[in-house]
Amino acid sequence: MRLEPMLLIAWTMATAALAFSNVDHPIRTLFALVFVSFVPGLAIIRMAHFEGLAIRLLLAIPTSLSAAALVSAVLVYSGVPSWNLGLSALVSLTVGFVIADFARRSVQRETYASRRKLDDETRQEALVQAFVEGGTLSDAAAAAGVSTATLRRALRSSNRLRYAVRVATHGESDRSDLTSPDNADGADRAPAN
Amino acid sequence: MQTTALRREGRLPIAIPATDVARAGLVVVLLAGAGALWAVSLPGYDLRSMTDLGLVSVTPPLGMAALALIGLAFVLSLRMQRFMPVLPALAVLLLVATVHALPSLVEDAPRQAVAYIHAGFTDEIERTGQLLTNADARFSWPVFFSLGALVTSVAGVDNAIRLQAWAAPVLQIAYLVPLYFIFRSLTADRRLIWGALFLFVATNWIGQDYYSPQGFNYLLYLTVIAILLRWFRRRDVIRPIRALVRFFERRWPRLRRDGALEELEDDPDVTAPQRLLLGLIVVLLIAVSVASHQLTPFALLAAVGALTVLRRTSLVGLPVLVAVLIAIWISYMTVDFLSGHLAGLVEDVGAVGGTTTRNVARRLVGSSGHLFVVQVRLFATAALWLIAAAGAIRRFRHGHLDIEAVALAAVPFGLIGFQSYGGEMLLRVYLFSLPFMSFLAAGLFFPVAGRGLSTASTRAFAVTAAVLVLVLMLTKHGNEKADWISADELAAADYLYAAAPAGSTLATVNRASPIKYRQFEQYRYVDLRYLYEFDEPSAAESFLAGYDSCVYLFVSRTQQVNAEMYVGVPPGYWEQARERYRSSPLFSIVFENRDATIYELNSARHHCHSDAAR
Repeated sequence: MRLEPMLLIAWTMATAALAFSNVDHPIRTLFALVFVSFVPGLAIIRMAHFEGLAIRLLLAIPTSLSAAALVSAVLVYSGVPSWNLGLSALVSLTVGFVIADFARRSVQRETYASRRKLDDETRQEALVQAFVEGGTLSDAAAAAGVSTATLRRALRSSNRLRYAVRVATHGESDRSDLTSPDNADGADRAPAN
Repeated sequence: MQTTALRREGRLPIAIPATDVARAGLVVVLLAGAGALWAVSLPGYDLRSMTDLGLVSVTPPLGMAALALIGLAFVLSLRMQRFMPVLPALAVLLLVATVHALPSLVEDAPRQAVAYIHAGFTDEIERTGQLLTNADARFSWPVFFSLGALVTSVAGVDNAIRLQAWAAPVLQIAYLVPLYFIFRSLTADRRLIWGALFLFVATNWIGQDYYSPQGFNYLLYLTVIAILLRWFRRRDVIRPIRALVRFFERRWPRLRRDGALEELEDDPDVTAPQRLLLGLIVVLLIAVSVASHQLTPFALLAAVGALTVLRRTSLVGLPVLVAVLIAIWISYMTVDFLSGHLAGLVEDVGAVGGTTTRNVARRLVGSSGHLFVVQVRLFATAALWLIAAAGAIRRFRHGHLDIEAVALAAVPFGLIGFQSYGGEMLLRVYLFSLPFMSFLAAGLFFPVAGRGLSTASTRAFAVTAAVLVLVLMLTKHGNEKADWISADELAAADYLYAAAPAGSTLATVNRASPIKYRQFEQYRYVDLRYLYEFDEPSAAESFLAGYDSCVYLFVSRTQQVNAEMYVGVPPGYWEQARERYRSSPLFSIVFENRDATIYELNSARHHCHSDAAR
């Protein structure tokens, strides 16, 4: 669901607004019960791409309730029984996970887009040629018509591209700016949505 | 798996046969009719006429007819050639609504006196943040109550007892989600999955689905098992079981022919981050369970231990982790409770016979109506377990070795040798084993995956479903006369808390009272131990005067019903006692309505005024 993160944030903010402004209306109860039962857990499990409504229900409800239980227990045992602080912690947890997930997906999308840009054979030839001629990463990026950041992301995420550069330069491209330990899996995968 | 079998399970697209269209239409009509009959029957519940048989005694005939229709519709939905899960799902949800949500709809205040105590603990933590570990053992496992405090505060609810109103249907529906995944891990036959879900709802009469740590922890228990069976499953068969299978293969030719284990759905692919997150969720749920309930962590330990020993889970270190968490919590966080109760806790260890006797015999007392309900419960329990045993054997003879289901149904019985749990251990054993008993019992009617219901099985399942659903009204709501809290009683309790100054002693005849739900720590609570001191006002006066504080005696309908139903106090006795109090110079009535009377102890009245002045 593309709108799910926005929905999570909106629900979280509405719950926080109703609770912090101490609104005395049944709508506050509805928002709060749904929030504590679903929202933090859903934000957490989104990080691992669990698809399907049933699986999300299975994991989100107990995870949400347990996260809230843990927060409440920490407040009680630490002698700071401020329930607004507890709500703040749950709101922060939810927003934090939604933002982290959003950032991760954005990076994945950019990486994928970078690779797509360099799928063009003409660009690949230009950048390999630039390396062959002893050019820097910036020179190669300029030759291929992409930004340095785009080239770096593409090299980091694509085994094939890195291999092509290495072969073209007869192994001379074993340079730290062309390889990255970040590329642990090295799979040329499309980002999941 | 054969194409035919896949088609029968609805996993291959086929044109919907005309008979299925007609049957689906009939199921929808039956369910709609059941819903309509049930809705029409709701205003007919006259709770004041309820007998010791509970809600069934005031259920209008239309209400019972609705239940029978639901059972019939459910069985028909399983008979379709092209299986449509939405139809049995509707029947299961309607069963939850008609039976488990019934008190929420026909009663005028949250039910069950013990829920009021849990609400009181929650209220105390919400207001003060303190844990009264010396006041009650449950404060040593407080996380459910602290969660309730957080929820009520954020939701702007004045008291957690409001959450009790719809707790039963909400929890029942919440349980269905992990149960679905558990059953899906045990079989690929979707009819069997829904049959097991139906049987679970139709036999879950234990009544722990209220605002309670057990109700919450049962959800955690089911979710942990669902995650283990779905994502951390191993398919190894240990040597003794393999030898057992070979032994039976030599004797049962059909077993040798069908031989292979049932073809289950492929294990879902999970990435490393998903496995990591699932593992963390399991640890989180177990940690919260350890800190919020005395018993469920041990049931979890038994369950994950059994799965590990049988090599049916890849999380082999989990039993150790659960044991360590339990040990840490008990050693460090429950010291206040254990220091005064350790001897009492360990005296039951190993005393299986004594625990069983106490769990059963203690319940076989009370009024004739109540005894009948208890006997029906015992019969229903024995029947379910026998059907489950027969189901396990029948499925085994057809080549399905339900190792996990049998193990998880059996291991909770080990808890009997651990504690009597206040005479409730057998009930909890039933609860923890119920999902797997339901699965095995349903297996009696669906022994072969994908083959659907034969005509004979249909008849047998229809009779079983109808009997279970009708009996459920008796087993689930058989104590409703004692569990029902009327709005008048709650109004009296509200008055009591408004009138009684802090520090007062609030006395009741027995513990079945809708009190303690607010300002728990500000009062002293005394119960007169079932009429021994309630019989004569002078005896109660001399007992209560020793408390050296303002004293109120709260006497309500629920207390009377409890005394008559569970203790066997003869009818009329209670009214005579109340008359004696009414005419006694030792007590004054300060509040009275149809269901409750509040007396003030005259000799302690000076405390009330001085307390009020303070």
